[in-house]
Amino acid sequence: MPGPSTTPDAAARPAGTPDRASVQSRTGERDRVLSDVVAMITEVIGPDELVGIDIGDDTSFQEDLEVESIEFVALSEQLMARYGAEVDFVGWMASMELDEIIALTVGDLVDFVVAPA
Amino acid sequence: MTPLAVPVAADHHLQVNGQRLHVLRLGSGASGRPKVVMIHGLVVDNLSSFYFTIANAVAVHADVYLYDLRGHGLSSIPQRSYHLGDHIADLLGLLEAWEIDEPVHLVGSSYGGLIALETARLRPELVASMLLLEAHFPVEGWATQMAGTVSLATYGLDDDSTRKWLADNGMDGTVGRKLKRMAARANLLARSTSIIEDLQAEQPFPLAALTAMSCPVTAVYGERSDIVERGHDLERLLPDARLHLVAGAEHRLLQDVPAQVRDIAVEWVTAAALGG
Repeated sequence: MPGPSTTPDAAARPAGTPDRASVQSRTGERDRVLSDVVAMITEVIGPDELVGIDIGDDTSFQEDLEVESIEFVALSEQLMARYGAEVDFVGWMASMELDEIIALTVGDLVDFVVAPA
Repeated sequence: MTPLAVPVAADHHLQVNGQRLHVLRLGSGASGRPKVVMIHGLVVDNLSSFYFTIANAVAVHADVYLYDLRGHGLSSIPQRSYHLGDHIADLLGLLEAWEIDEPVHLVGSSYGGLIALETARLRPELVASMLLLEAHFPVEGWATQMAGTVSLATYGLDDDSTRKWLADNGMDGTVGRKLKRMAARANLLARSTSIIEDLQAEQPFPLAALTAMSCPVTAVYGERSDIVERGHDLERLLPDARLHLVAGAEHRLLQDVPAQVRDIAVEWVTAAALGG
C-alpha cells in the first residue's frame, strides 16, 4: 500500500506563504461545480425551455427558471448522486424554511456544494 | 400518451405492479432508525410537497421513503387502474422492493391519508404508527365530491380557466412556464385516464372499522378545513388518536403552514424513534 505522499510544490512552499495554489484550486472547483449544476439544470428542464436564458450565480430557480417543484427534486437527486457522499443535502434542506428554498439562486446551491455551511 | 419526461438519476425509479414509480430515499440508513413512508395527495400533488416541507427534517431522525403515486410526479401514467386498491398494491410492492421487513410509520396527506388508513386497516401488522395530514376518507357522497374536485371537465383548456382551476385547488399565483407544465400534467391525468371514474366508484370507508384499529395515529387538520369533521371522527373513533387543529389553516397544510406541520412531524418521529 503506498504511503502518504507530499507533492514537490507543497514541500517547497515555506510556512506562512499565502496559499495561492489553494485559492486558485477553490476557484477552479467552484467553476467546475457551477458548470455541473448548469448542465444538470439544462438536462432536467430541457434545453428548449432555456433559450435566451443565461444561467449564472444570480439566476433564481423560482423567478427566472420557473422550475416546477418536482423538477427541483429531480435536480437535487442528480446533485445527491454526484456529490451526496461529500455534502449533507438532508441537513441543508432541513435547515431552511419553505420561503428560503423558494428564493434559492443557482449561486446559493453552488456555494453550498463547494463549502457546506 | 406522452408522459412529461424529466430526467432523474438512474436509481430513482422502481418497477412495481407494471408501473415505473419514482422514489426517493432520505436519511443515513443506519440500523435502529424508524422507517417512515410518506404518501402524497391527488392530481396537483407529488412527493415534492413533502420534500420541501417535512421530509428532510424527519430524515434527520429516521429513514424516509418518498414516492410519486402512479400517474403523478415522475411516475408512469397508466390509462386505467386508479382505485384505492391499486394505490395500496403499489405501496405494498414498494415496501417489498425497499426490503423493509419491519412495521413502518406512515405519513399520509389528503388522499394519501386514506391510502395509509386503508393499508393499516387491511394489513395492521405492517404499520407501526401514522401521521395523517388532512386525511380524506370516504363518507356518504365523498366519491362524487372528490371526483368533482379533481375534475377539469367543467373548465376549458385555456390559461385563464386552468389558472382558475389551480387557484380553486390552492395553487393561485402560479404563472408562466410552471403554470403550463402543471396544467399539462393535471389535464393529462384528468382527461386521459380513468382516475375520475375510479374515484366515483369508491365505496364509503367503514367508520366502524376505525374502532378496531390499534395503531397510534396523530391527525392534523386545519381548523377551517372543509373536512375538519374527519379529524373529529378519527379522534372519536380510533382507540389511540391525537388530534391537532391548526388555527386559521385550511386544507393545504403543507403549503400554508409548513413550519407548524414540520414541528408536529418531528415530535411524532422523535417519539417513534424512542419506541413511543
